[in-house]
Amino acid sequence: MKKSKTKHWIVILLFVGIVYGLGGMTLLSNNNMKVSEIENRQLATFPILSEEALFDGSYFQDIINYYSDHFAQRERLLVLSKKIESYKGSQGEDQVEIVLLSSEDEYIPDVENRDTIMHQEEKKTIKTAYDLNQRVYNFAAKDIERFTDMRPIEVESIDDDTLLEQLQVTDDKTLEGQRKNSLLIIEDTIYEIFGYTENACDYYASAINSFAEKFDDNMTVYSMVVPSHIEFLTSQKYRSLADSQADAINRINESFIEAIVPINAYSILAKHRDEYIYFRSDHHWTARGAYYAYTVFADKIGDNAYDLDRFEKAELEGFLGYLYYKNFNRNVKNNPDTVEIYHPFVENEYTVTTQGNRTINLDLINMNYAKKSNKYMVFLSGDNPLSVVDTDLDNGRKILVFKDSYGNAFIPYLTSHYDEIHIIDPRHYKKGAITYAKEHDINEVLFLNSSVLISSNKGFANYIKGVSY
Amino acid sequence: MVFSSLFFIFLFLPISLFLYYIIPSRKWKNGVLIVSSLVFYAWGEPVWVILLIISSIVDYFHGRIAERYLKRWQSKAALISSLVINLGILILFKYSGMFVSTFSTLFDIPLNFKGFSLPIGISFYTFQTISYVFDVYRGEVKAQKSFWKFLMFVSLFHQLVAGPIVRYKDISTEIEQRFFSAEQFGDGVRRFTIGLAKKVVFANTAGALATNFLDGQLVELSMGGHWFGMTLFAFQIYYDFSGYSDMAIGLGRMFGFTYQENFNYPYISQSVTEFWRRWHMSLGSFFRDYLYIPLGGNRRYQFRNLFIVWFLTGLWHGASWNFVLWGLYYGVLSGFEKILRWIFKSFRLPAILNYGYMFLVTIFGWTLFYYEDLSRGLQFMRGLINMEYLWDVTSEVMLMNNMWFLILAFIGVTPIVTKLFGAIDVTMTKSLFRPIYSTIFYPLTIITIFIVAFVLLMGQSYNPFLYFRF
Repeated sequence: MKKSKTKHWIVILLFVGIVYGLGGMTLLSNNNMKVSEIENRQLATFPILSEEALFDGSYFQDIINYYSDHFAQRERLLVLSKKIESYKGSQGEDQVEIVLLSSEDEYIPDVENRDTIMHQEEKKTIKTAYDLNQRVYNFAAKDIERFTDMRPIEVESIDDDTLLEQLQVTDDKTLEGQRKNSLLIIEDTIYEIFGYTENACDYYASAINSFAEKFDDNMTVYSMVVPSHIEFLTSQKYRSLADSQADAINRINESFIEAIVPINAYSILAKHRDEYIYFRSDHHWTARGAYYAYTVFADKIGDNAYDLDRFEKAELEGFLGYLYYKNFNRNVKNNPDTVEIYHPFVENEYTVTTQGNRTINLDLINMNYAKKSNKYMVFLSGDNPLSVVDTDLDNGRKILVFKDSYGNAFIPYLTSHYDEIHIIDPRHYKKGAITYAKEHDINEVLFLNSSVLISSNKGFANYIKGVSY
Repeated sequence: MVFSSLFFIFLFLPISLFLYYIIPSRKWKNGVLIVSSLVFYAWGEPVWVILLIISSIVDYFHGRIAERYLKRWQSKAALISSLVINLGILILFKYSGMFVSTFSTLFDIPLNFKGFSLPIGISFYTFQTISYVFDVYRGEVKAQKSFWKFLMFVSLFHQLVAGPIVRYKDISTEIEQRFFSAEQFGDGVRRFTIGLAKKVVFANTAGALATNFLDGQLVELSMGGHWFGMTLFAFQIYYDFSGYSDMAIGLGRMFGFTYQENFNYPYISQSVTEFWRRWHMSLGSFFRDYLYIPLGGNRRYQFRNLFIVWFLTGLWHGASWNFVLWGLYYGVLSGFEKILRWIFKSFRLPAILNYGYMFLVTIFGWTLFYYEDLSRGLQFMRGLINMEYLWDVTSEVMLMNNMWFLILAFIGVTPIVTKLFGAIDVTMTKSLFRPIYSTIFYPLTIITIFIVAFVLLMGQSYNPFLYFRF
């Protein structure tokens, strides 16, 4: 009788040992980690007690989140958990895998949109996308002293929350279901699976049309929509998982009024599809991809594009991008990306203007990010509301570029052709862009966006409409 | 708070277990249980914990009155009053939004009332207190004299949030006096671990996959994808629900309580009638004992009685008409089965055909259950029989990517694993290998499952809301 109890006693001892051991370690360890390196994200902070948070239960839920984010040996256990998960099936001969992004990630095909969602979640500390940008600066460029004690600045203009609401309300409800945002992995390459809706394409075109209509004939408006990696996948079988980006881009171009000049980056990228024009672990194109698009653009503006050799080349090895952190794929990890940089040869001064009317001078190619995790940030130091490149050219040409993060790798090439390059990221800019263009006597505007961001929902177009005054 | 969180497993549970076992007096053990249960509940419902306490006070007195005037009109009045109050609370909090919006649609009167947020576990604890007053009224159990013990019964955190629906009479002796043994505690750990694994390993994984099929663009989904997706949901809901019940039963054992089983491998059923004897048993038996039989059962108005029971079974699952439809769907099918049995007497189809029939029934049933929007539910059903588009690449890749998981999940809904381990246990305990079995094999199996479950839980814990770019 006594012996039949042995197994239970051992189970109890082990269970109690683990639960009290790890539980105690978690309580005792003064875990001050604020950032999780392996997940590339910020850890939850201990919630601030407020009447509202107390009664709606979010205070207690936040404590639970804080607890699990600061669990003993968390990073190690996470790695183990990914390892266990990898046994759930096989990748087959093609080494192919589909990764579903969790519901919270949906709707946000681009990193920067994700930020909007994030700051909504982090209302207590970060009130606007601007605050967030400051945070990112502080974190990424710790060594730059003047950033370190910067406080989030109250922004009186358009509140991001209203924008966000707008964005949700106008999201197309007539379509059944939602566009799922999932990833396809083949061997060591991660692709975002592209999907578009005609409504979103038309809406984007209409946003640019109404922008262009506010100017007279002296203004030239260009539009370049950049296809994403999956469009050029050679395997027809897996290529068929995604919608045709050629169709989406055509749809947009056909909806433009005559005043708008579409620039066809698609064909040249298709021609160079076998070169390293997209990252394998990130959703962006490479500077080489951007270069090919630039040659087409130079042609359109009546200039000759410079040879790629003309730009001084640098390489940053060991880049694992945003898509990698969505699934921690081993093949990708073993073969990380290299960021190729082509330094502009025309001297220039790059000024970032924040919404608090501070100006910061940075290098156009900011090598402070070379050692950081997200190396794509070397281009223009990421997305800012407004920034200006003043080059040593004295040809008087000025251009205003509306862009998402695809623009960042592209803009350095423009330094060889323009006297001034004004860059607006409509997601973060909070003022009138038309007023701005007129004030600065700008007569060329380029809208440069990735097809992923604009053709699956109306969010980005709403941001453009939001600054078209 | 949910059981499947690190906070519960590594902080809440160890603290409450420690206090519970360190305190020698029985009275204060009850105190520990009450306090920890209220803390547990208030963690998720800081406001509606009041409702739980009010509900306990009300039914404590109803029980006392029902007993004092047993067999007299006052007792019946107490029962009716208890029913009115409990169902009133349930209707007010769970169904008012649904009723108002139905009313406003039917009569085209715009009413801007969204209902209350549903207090967690209200469907479970109101049923538990109803069954208590009912049993006292029938003289089947003695009323609880101590309010604190009654509050403990209602608030017990093991089953408060997601069942099973524990009846007072089933644990009345344990409320007074509990016995503790290593066997009981160890078995509780085993049961909790199995439940945790069901929830974390199976339900969460299947759930994440299922949404991709069920909430995406249905036109792009092939017929095979429709079946695949709804099968995943069938896995998710079974593993989720039965996992919670397992964890509740396991926790109960750790604290010295024995709760009734709630699931008995429902997916191996060969008929709808059998399915409902195996699925969420505490709900089925509740409706049988406190509704169907008092209404007259088989003896009079059987069809009316069945209709009411199936209608309410559906409605209990959620405040939306699709759940009612889902309940009635099973009601109609079980009616058909009754008629067929009556015609064909002892004739039985081969088991394989019955399984096929039940697979179809279950998949169509979960479709009704899943889509609150009926038009989308119907669209999904069309997809289930869309012969023109049989298979797609996404489904193929997902099937391959999750192959081992799916095989395990499939085995897990059958009694095979339990039977296998039971047989091993019996053989080993008798054999020479007993020392190795009970010191190494058995404990290691349980603890490995526990470790895998909480490690995976950790992986699922990271919250993608908080991403930011460097």
